[in-house]
Formats: sequence, structure tokens, C-alpha cells
Amino acid sequence: MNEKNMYYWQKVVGDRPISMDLEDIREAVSEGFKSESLNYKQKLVYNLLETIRNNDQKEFFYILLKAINKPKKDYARLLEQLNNNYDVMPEEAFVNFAYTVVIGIMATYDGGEKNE
Amino acid sequence: MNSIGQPQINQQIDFTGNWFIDIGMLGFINLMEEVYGWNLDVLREEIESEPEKVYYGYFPLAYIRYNLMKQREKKLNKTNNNELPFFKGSVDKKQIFEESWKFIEDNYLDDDGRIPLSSSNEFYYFHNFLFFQPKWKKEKQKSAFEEILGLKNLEDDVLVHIDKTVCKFLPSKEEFPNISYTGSLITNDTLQNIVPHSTIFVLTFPLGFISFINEKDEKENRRTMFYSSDMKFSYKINKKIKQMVERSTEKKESIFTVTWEAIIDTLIELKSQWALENMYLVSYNLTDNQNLINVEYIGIPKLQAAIIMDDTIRENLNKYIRYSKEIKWKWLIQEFIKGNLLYPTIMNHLNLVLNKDLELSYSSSLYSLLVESKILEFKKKNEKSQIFSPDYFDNYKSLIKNIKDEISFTSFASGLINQISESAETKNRIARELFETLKSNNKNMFLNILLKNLNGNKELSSNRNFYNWILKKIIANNTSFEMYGLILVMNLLRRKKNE
Repeated sequence: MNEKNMYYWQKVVGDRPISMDLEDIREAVSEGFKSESLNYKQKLVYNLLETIRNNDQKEFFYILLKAINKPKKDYARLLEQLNNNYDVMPEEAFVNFAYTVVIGIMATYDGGEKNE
Repeated sequence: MNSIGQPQINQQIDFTGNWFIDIGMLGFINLMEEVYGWNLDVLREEIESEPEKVYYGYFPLAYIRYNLMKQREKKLNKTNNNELPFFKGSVDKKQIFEESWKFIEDNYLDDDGRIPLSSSNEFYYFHNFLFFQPKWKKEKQKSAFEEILGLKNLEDDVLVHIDKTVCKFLPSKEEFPNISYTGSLITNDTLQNIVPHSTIFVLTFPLGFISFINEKDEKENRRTMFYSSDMKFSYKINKKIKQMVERSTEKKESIFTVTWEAIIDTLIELKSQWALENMYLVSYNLTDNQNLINVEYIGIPKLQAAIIMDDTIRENLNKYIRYSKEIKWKWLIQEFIKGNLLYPTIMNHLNLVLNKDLELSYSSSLYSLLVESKILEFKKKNEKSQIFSPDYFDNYKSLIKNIKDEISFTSFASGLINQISESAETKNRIARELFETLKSNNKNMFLNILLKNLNGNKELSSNRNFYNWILKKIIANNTSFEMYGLILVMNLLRRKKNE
């Protein structure tokens, strides 16, 4: 069984430290979105926040995947992370994961190219 | 240091680790101080140079004198110490005692041929015990003293077994629960072998306590003492508590608070950490038939004790904080030591601040929250390990270091939130919204509101220190995110005051 998938389920019953995993995800997300425009990202973040708020995992992944469904090399690492992590998660785990993604996008606000 | 078996070590006075003997010793010290004005150091010198005189000469005299002093409202107090016998030149126990007794008879004998000892006040503990009995004349009284001092074989049954008759904290001889076939094994002989003069300390036991009188409710009267395994530490603290109690006649503070104030003061003087880890408050109150009501032992956990040994942490927790609309205050260190959670207190305090009722106690709140969160984290980490982990023996040094690192890291990183807006009003609004989500402990909503408000602020949301802090302390933190959340709220409110 995949190590990273395991963690979410373990999280519910166990106590494995999680910060390292989330840090990986955060970095992959930042790397993916680093060259998108600020406006685009702010809007995306806003939409994502709405879905997390309702614990709407389906919608969250729908928006996220739509956003990265581009032939860009930047997203390679993020796709790999998603491939490893995607699962139907308990709310607690999903909240942690989803906000990490959001923080990852927000962390790139100052570096984006103004291409819009 | 003498090796065991040498005579000096038998004579020196020091705690034994058995609390009821130790309290008796403290009572003995108090007695000698009250009557002769010797403090602990002087007493120790006296015992070292002339132990026989102290135990067989000065002690019986002091005990009787003190009892009479209490009855006659300190009339005797003015007698000059020079009038007291000096037991010149003699080293023989019996001779010293005879001299002492002669002095007692010459001075205190009443018309009935009795030393008028009374079992009132703290001596109520020994109601109708041996020489306190009104019918006992001087001969019997003298003989009882001789038995207690070990100058004579024990004749009185009450002294053979140490049980409820002499120590109210013990069951009676027949009731000792686990020894159904013999009665109490704690006999005077056994005790004397372990601690010389222990019968004396049995007699001085009630003198180790400080009385707290409650005029409104007699049942609330109680005698209390602070006990730790270090004699000097206990002695100093009890002395301080006594002074504080005498001083604060109007303001009835709780025993716990008074004790802790004394401990904190003494801590700074003495730094005896190992004593701090073994502290108890012993309280008792006797009914008319000498039953115990309200016996309390309050132990202080080693973890909490180790943490308040740190000067900065202690200073910051050593504050009173307002926590409700009626002017109610909580002493943080007291809550902490009792093992109560500090988070709800800080939460209530912030609630008041939000409603503009008072000023924020920022650093005390920050320390409270971080100390608590680090302890939670620490406990979670060590859930499965043994109680006596290496940390235990290391006095939790790594935990304390952790707390202090966290304080400097968090106070910097969480302070960045102030850049979220220029306007105090907006910050206040955000603070209120965040605070509401913390009330219901809703992490999802907390982050949602926080990030939505951050979304428009490009500098802050891409500040590496800030987002890393949020990721680590709030998102990836399932044990104590609400404490860090509260710190953010505090920071939003803090700036507001300056603007």
C-alpha cells in the first residue's frame, strides 16, 4: 500500500507526524502555480475556499484539476503528489490537505508573471 | 558528612521523608523558635554542640511554657530568657531533665499540685492525652514526660503503638486495615530505632501547622501546613505563610494562593528544585470528638514544577488575569499548578478585550497558551512511552527549551498578521470572526475566514515566515491549533490598542 495514502487513514486512528508530508504538497503546489497571474490565482483560491468550507471534496478536486489541466511542466510534481494523495478523505484530513494546497497557491502571490 | 553510626548524625535534626515525623520536627523547630527565639540555624548549632540539653532540658520546658503562654494570652512571653536554667556543665540526660523539671515545678505549679497544661488551641489535637488530663498531678505528668523522652520504659499503652491516639491521620490500632492479626506495627520502639527522639516529634506535630480561622463558619477553620522534603524550604515557606496570614486579616485569600505566593518568593531565594517536585499542603480540622474533617493533600506534579522553575515563564504566569465581566481574576500560575487548562481563561479574557472592556494582557496570555500547547504536544508524543522517561529525569529541560523557542518564533511570526490591514476596525472585525470560530472549535471555518481575508493581501500571504507558521502551527496541528489561533486573534487586537 502506498505510504502517503496510508497516512490519511492512519491520521484518524494514529499519531504519525504529518508536517513533512504537507510541506511536500505545499512546495509542489507553489512550484506549479508560480508563474500564473495574481488575479487568476486569487480567484481560484476564493473558489477553492468555498468548496473546503462545505467539505465538498468532489468540487474541490474538480476545480483544482481543471486548473492544472495544462500542458505545463510546472505541474508535474503537483500531479505526482495528487496521484499519491488523492482519496476520499475523512473531513479532518481533507481540511488539512486542502488548506495546504491553498496556502501553497497563496505563497506564490508575489512572484507571478503579469500575463493577463 | 558523618557515616552512619557515628553519634553526631543521630543527634542532628533533618527531615526523614516520613511526613508525619517531619511535620513534628517542623513543629519542634517552631516551638523552640517561639519560646527561645532560636531560628533554624541557631537550633541546629545548639543541637550539634549540646544535644542532650536541647532534647532533655530545653524541650520539656519549652513545651510546657508554650502551652501556658497560649492559655494566658502571652503573659509569660515577657519573661526574660536569662531567667531560664542553663543546665550548666551537665551532660547526663537524667540530670538535665531533673533540672528542667525543677524549674518547671518552681515556676508553673498551680495550687492543686499540677502543672496546668491545657488541651485548647492547637493542643486540642491531644485532648485528654497523658499529662493534659486534668486529673493528672505533677508526679504523673513528670513520669509521662520521662517516658516520652525515653528516660524511662514505656508504661502507658497509648505510647507503645503509634496510631490514631497520637496521630489523627492514622487509623486506630485495631483498625489498621491490612494487619488484621497484629495491630499496628508502627510501634514507638521501631520508630525510635529509625528516628531518634521521634516521640518528641509526635508531641510537636500539631505545632507544625498554621491555623486559618474562619469567623463565619467554624467548620471552615482549619490547620494547614506546607510540606516538602527539604526541611529548610518547608520551614521558610511555612514561616512566610504565617506572616502573610497574619497580615491579610481583611482580605481572606485562599490557602492555596497564600501558599503559592510564599513558595514563589522562597523559590527565588533558595532555588531548591528537588524540593519543588515533592510538595504537599496538609490540612486538617478536628470536630468535637476529634474526628478529622477536611484532610487535604495537594501534590504538585513534577512537570508543572519543572516548568515554573524557569524564571521567564514563571514571571509571565505569575499574574492575575481578568476573565469575567464581574471583576473576577484568576491567578494563572495557580491554575497551571492545579493542572487546570489555561486556554479557557485566556479565551474569556480575550472575549472581554473584544468587547472593549479592558486591556489585553498580551505576554501572559502568550506564555499561557504556548506553555499549554507545548505540554499537550509533549504528552501526545510520549503517550506510549513510560512515565519515567529520560525527560522525567532530565527535569523536562528539552520541553522547557522547546517552549522558549516556540515563544520567540511564534511571537514574531504571529505578529505579522498585523499587516493584514491598516484599519483597526477591519482588524477588530476579523478578530471577532476568528474568535467566534474558535469558540466552536471549528478549524475549517477558522482557516476559511483567515485565508479569505488574507487572499487580498499579496505581501502577507506570500510572506514565507507567515505561511510556514500557519502551515505548521495551524494546518498541520491537530492537538493545539486553537491556541495558535487565539494567538493570532490576540495579535489582531494588540495592535489596535496602540493605534
